[in-house]
Amino acid sequence: MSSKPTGVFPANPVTTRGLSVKLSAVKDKVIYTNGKTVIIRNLNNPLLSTTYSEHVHNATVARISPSGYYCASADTNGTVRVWDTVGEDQTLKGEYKVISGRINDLAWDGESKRIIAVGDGREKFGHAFMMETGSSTGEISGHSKAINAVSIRHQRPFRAATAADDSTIVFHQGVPFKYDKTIKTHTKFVQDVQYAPSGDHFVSVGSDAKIFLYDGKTGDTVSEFTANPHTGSIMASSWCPDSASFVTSSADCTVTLWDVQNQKPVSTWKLGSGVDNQQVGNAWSGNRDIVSLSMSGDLNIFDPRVGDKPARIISAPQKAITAMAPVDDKTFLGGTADGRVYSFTTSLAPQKAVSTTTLNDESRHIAGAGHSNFVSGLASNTRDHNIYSIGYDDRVREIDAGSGSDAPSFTSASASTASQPKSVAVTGDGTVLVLEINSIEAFRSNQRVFEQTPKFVQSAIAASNSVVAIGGEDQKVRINDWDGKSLREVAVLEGNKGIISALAFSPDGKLLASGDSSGRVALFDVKEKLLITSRWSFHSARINSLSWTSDSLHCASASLDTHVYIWSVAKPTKNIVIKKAAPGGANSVLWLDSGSPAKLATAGADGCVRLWEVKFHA
Amino acid sequence: MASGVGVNDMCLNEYQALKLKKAHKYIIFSLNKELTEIVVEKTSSSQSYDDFIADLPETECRWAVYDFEFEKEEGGKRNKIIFVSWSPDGAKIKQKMLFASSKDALRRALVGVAVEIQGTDYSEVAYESVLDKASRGH
Repeated sequence: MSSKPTGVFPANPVTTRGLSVKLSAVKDKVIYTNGKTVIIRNLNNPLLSTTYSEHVHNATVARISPSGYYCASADTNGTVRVWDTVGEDQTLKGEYKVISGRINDLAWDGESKRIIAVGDGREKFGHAFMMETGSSTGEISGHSKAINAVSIRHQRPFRAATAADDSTIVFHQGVPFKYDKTIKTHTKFVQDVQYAPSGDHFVSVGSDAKIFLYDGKTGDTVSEFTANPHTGSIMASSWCPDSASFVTSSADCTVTLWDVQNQKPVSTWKLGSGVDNQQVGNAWSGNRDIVSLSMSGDLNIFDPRVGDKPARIISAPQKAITAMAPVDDKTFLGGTADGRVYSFTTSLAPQKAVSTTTLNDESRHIAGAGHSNFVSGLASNTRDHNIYSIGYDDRVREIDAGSGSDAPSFTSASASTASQPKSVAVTGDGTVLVLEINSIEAFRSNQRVFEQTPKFVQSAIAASNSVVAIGGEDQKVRINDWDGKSLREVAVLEGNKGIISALAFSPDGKLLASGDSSGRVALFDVKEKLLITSRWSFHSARINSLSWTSDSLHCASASLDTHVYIWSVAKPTKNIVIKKAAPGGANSVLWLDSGSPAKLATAGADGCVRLWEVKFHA
Repeated sequence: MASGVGVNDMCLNEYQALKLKKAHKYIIFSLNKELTEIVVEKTSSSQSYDDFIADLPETECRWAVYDFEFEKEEGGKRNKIIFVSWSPDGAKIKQKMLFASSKDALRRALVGVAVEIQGTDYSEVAYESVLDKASRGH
């Protein structure tokens, strides 16, 4: 009868080459953005994270007020939204259009009343305003290029420092904020500037790999940190809550912890090499966790007391999740639009409000030779539990599900397809059927065993033992028989009103659900080859995915209209709706457990996987 | 454009029975075989809204009158008579044309209809969307 959210596997921050990413942290939570979504990630238990998807344009930075009650998030259009973080419904406090371009950074004052937002505007690069009303509290001026970062001294007298692409830092007095002086220490882009929590100092870092320390009240340069191990652009810095040390992250793949008193590096961590390991953002969570962001999206967590490598690494999708497939009753895989595949593990235990340090629920990047481009489908082999993935790099790859403590990984074997693969299915005898733009190919042990070029344009495929359903752009579903050597067409089913976009057989093989581009789901009897009902037509856009419960009584459909509907075979007029199950469009839906209450996972364009508990109609 | 289709007297009698005597919960109207007259196809006193939805065929047009009972948010029961023009996407175009042009003949004969609903798929005649329309305003 109803559904309720039980948790979310959040996406990781989106990264762009050469751009510093602004992370921030409050206690054990890290706040960042991915696409239009603002994510408040709980470092200890990802399922307790929250997401905010009300931005119309891509969000760029989000920071929680010192009071902890509000979050300010900004987007590429120059809009700042201030919203409530305490209540469930994330009430909007105010929406302010502050500059006419991308906002790169924003900062709260110590009283949680004022905000300065900076970026790349047309007539000005920054704006200082009251959080409640949006009225101006000064002027941010003195820069000739886009401003990259801003920081406000949290004690009175208020000061603000802004760092820009014109290689200068401007020191403002406040309030109201007004220009005081320009600091010309750096020789290249200044990437970040941060005030110490005590207000005594602030630090600036830049693309010239230099670090400078300034007096917090006057803005005078105290010194340059010359014992500097960084050789590349320093992208971010953040302070320890006790103001005695700070950390810098650099594009030369290193993270360095500095002692302010004697101006020496305490420790330096090296994270491999190559573009993927460039460090582009950081934040200091609690008293001891340092979070540094890799270009690949991985959040590396360092403990200052521990030596040469991250204490742990949080990996999660950066791009839209395009397909999901189950591994066992606790683990499932998700393929993304950038070709990576992740495994998600959930203990399915009821979530407690108190966070624990047990890491039962996590997402992990699947190692091995993966896809280099868009993963267009995943399918499980019911016999050996291996999973087959297809991608726009025109290859079929095999993922070993692993056993026990072994994590799933790509096997080295792969086969190339004749044209771009669209959909994949595995038959009962373990043959992998790949539906491509021009043909259908069958693979067994990475060898092509069959190829067929149909007369119609095909769009989706599903298989149950030897029965194979192929959907076409002609709004028809063709039932085929697979005898181990070839496909033979046995029936044509009609009942859809658009291009067939998703097909799923019920686990008992008796029923077939077919979703189309008009949002209709048709239910067919496979044996009688008859349309049972087309009443499942509540979606208003393309059906992207269908999933059956293990008892074959309920079917869930995920659609581009962002909603998920759960249909009942016994009562076709009844349905359960999960509105906005995946902001931006739901790409995939998967039942994890059909017990009572049943558990459902949905994923979509925002790269997050959301978990739900569903109670069926009595 | 009117199609020239007439309304059978039974339609009005059954409607009066629904409206005044509360003898029925809903009435389904259709055209007769010769497509010359609107006739009563079914009357029912089932209290289940799902039964009503189940009586709307997947690929054929119908009209229906339903005695819709609901509770206001601030309490208090209301009854409203709703008129449904059921014209599903899957129906034949000719039938949809004929039903659309004949609707007025029936609709004008029925006095006291509070809400009119145009349904082309099941989401538009679902209980929630009808309730939303019925509870708007009054």
